[in-house]
Amino acid sequence: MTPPTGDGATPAPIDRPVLELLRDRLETTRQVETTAITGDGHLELDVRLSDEYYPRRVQTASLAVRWYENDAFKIHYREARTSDDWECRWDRHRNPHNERDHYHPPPDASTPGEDASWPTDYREVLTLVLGEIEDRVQTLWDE
Amino acid sequence: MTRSDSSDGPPPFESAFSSDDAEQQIYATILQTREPTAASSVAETVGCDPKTARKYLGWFAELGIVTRHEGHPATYERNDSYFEWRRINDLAAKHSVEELQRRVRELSEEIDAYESEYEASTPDEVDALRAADETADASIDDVYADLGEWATARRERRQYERARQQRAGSTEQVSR
Repeated sequence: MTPPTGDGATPAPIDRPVLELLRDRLETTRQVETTAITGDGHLELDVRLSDEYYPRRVQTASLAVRWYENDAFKIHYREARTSDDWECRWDRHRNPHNERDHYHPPPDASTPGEDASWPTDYREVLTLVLGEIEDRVQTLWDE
Repeated sequence: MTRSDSSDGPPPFESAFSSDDAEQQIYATILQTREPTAASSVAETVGCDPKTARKYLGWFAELGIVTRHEGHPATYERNDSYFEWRRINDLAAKHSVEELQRRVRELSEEIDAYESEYEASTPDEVDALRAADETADASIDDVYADLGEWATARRERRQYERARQQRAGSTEQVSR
């Protein structure tokens, strides 16, 4: 097996220690109901947001975080609703050809997404994402 | 939490990281320090005194969490083998040899499927852009996702296999 090259150019595995730290921090916050690092299928951090933050028409809201050892990431936010789901996605791809930061807008988080620029630090990225979800929650109550 | 007035909305989100003390912040920073980095640079990221950064980095180096490279100045980076060792021990403690073996098999099937789909033996041999072009119903995002999953499955398989060997070895010793 080849060790990670650290140049951010080759496909890298999920960075489990980063997911573990995010889990430990997020689970202490009021807006988070449960957290789990799932191993079946995709390895990711699943975060269930607290129902108390959402109007009744949103059944569950969750965040799936994948962070890779080359600092690429994919973060998927999803509201399961009585009518239709609402989802969006933030991601950073890295490969030898390019580096691309994207926001994939709702309703279906479809590709190709809008170009964007995310911080490098994983904590700053999560803070940014949670800030946007907080704005989204406010919008839901204002609707 | 009770909501009395629908115009209020819920209370603000709590910050996940703002209550971290200097030691926790240095730990969180070093987790993403993938190249040798001076303590002063870690201190700058964290916003603490370089002396404080050196103290905790030295402590983490003693624990094996961090690799310290001698020099002027000394540099530090995350020690991947520490986290690998910790994970393997954890797997060996929590699962039976049979469970570990089953997971190795499942992961091998997953890896075989990627190898034949992309006609390559490792994900870094794959040209993601070309693969996306050649596959009618796969976007570049799908290919990136696959390559990450594939690399993850290879990593997981190695760890499960080492845990299996460790577990099998200790069982043999006990039964002797």
